[in-house]
Amino acid sequence: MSERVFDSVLVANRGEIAARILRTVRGLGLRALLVAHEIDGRTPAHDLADDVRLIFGPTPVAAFLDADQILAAAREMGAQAIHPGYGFLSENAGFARATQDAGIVWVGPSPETIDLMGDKVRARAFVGARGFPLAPSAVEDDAPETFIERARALGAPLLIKPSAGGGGKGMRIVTDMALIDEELARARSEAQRYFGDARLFVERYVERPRHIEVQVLGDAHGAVVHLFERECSLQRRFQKIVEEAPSPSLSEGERQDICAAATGIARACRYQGAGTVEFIHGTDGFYFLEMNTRLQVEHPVTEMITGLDLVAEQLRVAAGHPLSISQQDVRRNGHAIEARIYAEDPARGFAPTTGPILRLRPPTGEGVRFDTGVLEGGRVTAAFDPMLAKLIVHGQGRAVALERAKAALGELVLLGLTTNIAYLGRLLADPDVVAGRTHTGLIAEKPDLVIEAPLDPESLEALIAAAALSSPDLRRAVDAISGLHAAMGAWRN
Amino acid sequence: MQGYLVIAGEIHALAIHPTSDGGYRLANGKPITLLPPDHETPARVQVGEAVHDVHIVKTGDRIWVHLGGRAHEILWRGAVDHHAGEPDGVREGVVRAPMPGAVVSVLVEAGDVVSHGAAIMVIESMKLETIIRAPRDGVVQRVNALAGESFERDAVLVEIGARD
Repeated sequence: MSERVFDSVLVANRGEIAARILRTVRGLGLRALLVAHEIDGRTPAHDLADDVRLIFGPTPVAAFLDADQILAAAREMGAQAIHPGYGFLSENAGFARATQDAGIVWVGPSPETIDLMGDKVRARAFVGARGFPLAPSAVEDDAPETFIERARALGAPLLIKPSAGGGGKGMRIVTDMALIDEELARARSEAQRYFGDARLFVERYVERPRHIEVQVLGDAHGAVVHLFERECSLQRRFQKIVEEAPSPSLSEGERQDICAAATGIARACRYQGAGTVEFIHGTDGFYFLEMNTRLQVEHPVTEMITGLDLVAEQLRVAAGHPLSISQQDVRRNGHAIEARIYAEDPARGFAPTTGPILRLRPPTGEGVRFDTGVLEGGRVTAAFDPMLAKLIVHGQGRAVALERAKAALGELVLLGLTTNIAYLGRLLADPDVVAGRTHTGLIAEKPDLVIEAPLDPESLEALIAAAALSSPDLRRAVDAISGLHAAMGAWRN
Repeated sequence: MQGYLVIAGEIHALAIHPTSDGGYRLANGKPITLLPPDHETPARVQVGEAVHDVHIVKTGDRIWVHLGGRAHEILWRGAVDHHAGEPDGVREGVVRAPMPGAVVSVLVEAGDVVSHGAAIMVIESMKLETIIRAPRDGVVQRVNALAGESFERDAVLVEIGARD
């Protein structure tokens, strides 16, 4: 494979990931280019970019999905490579192909790999055919006439999924096999309604499952390595909010098995660049879930325990160079935890919030990394995903990392809108989380974690004093009405 | 009643008094001071002997305070003009809505004996559930809002009279 040298990289993304990628781009001495939407205002990525082009669309999200517009901006800026980040066009094989057709280096796996692994049913068939573990299942399409028999043979508990589905819609859990006909009928009707496609498949339902994923890297010279696993079981609404590495639940033997499976899958599809193989881990083993053919949100926990820069490796591979490391060079050191900072209100079902960033003071200290997509003075709108920043901490052991994470969450000052920061602090202090007894249903099982601890009297006095003394208006009001106090007293002191 | 602060869903009187030396004290007598931030240190608020690091920003009628490792959103309602024309002291048993909202639940009815600080109503306002507490000892004379009803700022929600 010949080298595809480039000296400029356009990031077709926004927020914290755009800044994180541009930091490495600059560090390598390459020109840092950015497309941006004006609704974001000034962001950390703007401050790192050598050149920025505004993109437009019917909605801000549509602008970042407009492949033609982004390629036109890339040409205008003289971009020689495009890094898509995560989300948006990052797993769009058509965009990858169009980028290459425009003579621009695509920082990611080949369009063929994206096509293969991006399609859930194709990926499942590909992985299963090569002997990697899939949840025991029955696919209707394989032989519609025997589908119900094959489903029955799996035994309870079962998960019914629409073949064309996604996002949890139309999924039903069957715990009593006497009800399977009825549940299949309902799932079929929902699948038809949501996806216009009534075909189903059924798989063994893993109770209290853990989400474990393995980071892989591959290059154009056939090398594939794994960078160990991440556990991402703490999720709300099917989205991860806390990730860690290593997993607190895997034995050393299980770790070797799951990492070997991921490496084997990546090798089978001749994977190039950074990718993640996701598994569901239950009491009776692990099963392939899907592969993400891009850099992931939670990649920093892997960087913290391996000391590697995943974006730098992606750029090396895109340039046709071999990976900087072999499997033997990959060392695991300590424990890392990431907490995603969202503009959302946990007490209102984690509904997104908006507002100004009036004050932002990132935490500091040993082992603390803060990847932010917002700046003080900015404004959070409803235009994009409400993730604002990621707090990542590293410590020699899990207990140290947890303590550092909680301390850093307390130190992080983000004022002006409701966020999940205090919630994350309570979640990391939960006894089951501390003990590593996590599973993907944990957050839903603990609704009381959204409740704020009551204020102690000393803090309350300090808040009243701080509020009153901080504002000339309030002080004036106090001075003006002070004569009334003696007669009226206070509601509460 | 003077100004109100809504902190963590509860209403608190803005019970701050000027002192003779130009400073301020809480109703319980503790002196309070606010030391402004400098280059490296955040602001500090002192209440009696206790000193707390704080970050404070104000926007409109909201005050955001980072204290004790977490952010607090405080709503301020000035009340200087609330009771103009009302005789001092006479109307102290009138509980007015500190802001527009809706009644979540009514915890008392006419005739109930209540003591100062007792929860008498839960309202929802500005996305916050707020407990309304009795401003004095007394007997509930009238409840003017039912659960589910909405009201404007300054609406009289409950009236509490002296015990016979």
